[in-house]
Amino acid sequence: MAHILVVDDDEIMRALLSGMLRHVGHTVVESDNGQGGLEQMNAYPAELVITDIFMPEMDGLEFLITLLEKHPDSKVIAISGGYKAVNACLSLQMAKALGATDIIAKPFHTAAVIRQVAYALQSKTIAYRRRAER
Amino acid sequence: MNASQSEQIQNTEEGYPDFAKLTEMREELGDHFLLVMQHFQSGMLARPQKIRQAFQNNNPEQLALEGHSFKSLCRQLGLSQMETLSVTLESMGRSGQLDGAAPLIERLLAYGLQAHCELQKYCLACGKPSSVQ
Repeated sequence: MAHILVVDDDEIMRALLSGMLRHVGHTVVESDNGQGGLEQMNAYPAELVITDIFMPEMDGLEFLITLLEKHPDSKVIAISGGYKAVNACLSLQMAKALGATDIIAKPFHTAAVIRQVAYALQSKTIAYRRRAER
Repeated sequence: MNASQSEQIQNTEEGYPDFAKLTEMREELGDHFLLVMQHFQSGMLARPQKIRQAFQNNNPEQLALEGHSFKSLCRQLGLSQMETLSVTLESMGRSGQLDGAAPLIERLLAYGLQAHCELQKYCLACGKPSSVQ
């Protein structure tokens, strides 16, 4: 079982994700913003980060970029329901292009999230793949 | 709000959660289900209040943010009527045009109360009392 960081400004979505992950045996820490997530990762790096995209202050994409700069071997799952003119699909594709291991659109099926988490934990990071390609 | 959005809201029934989604969540969350449901139940009351507060403060940006946030919760529970209202309010907040928002917000408050009650009934039927009043 893994140590997982959940970053979402919505406490209810955090509770949902954390509850699902804890139920299958993972250890979960939470942050309500990207800056807090970075501090958590610096203090105690998680094996997987699940982050919302649209958050006030530091949004998920900025968090993802900064996180992968400082912790290039991080595995990240980005979640979004879309906001403003940016729909969920586009924002999640951006996250994928920026190095997210996987993406999840809201609303999500809990069983599917658990499967994606298991798959992400077993997958190689984008940094690993880039090193292997050289 | 355009005519299509208005018609869509008028012609749909009051929102009830998708009980199939709740059952799936109960199976996937196990002992954590009731705790998570407490968050959802309280959100059904508190979030529409935040939307109303943003409207009363004449703060379209905050209204858009609150609408966006509540939209996701409604989607997750299959509350399609409430999701439609939230999307409309988010859009109105984003455009800065809040004319006509008041009755939608009042409807969202009423449906939120109903959703809260439905979630509470579902949790009670799960065999354990819900602590959220």
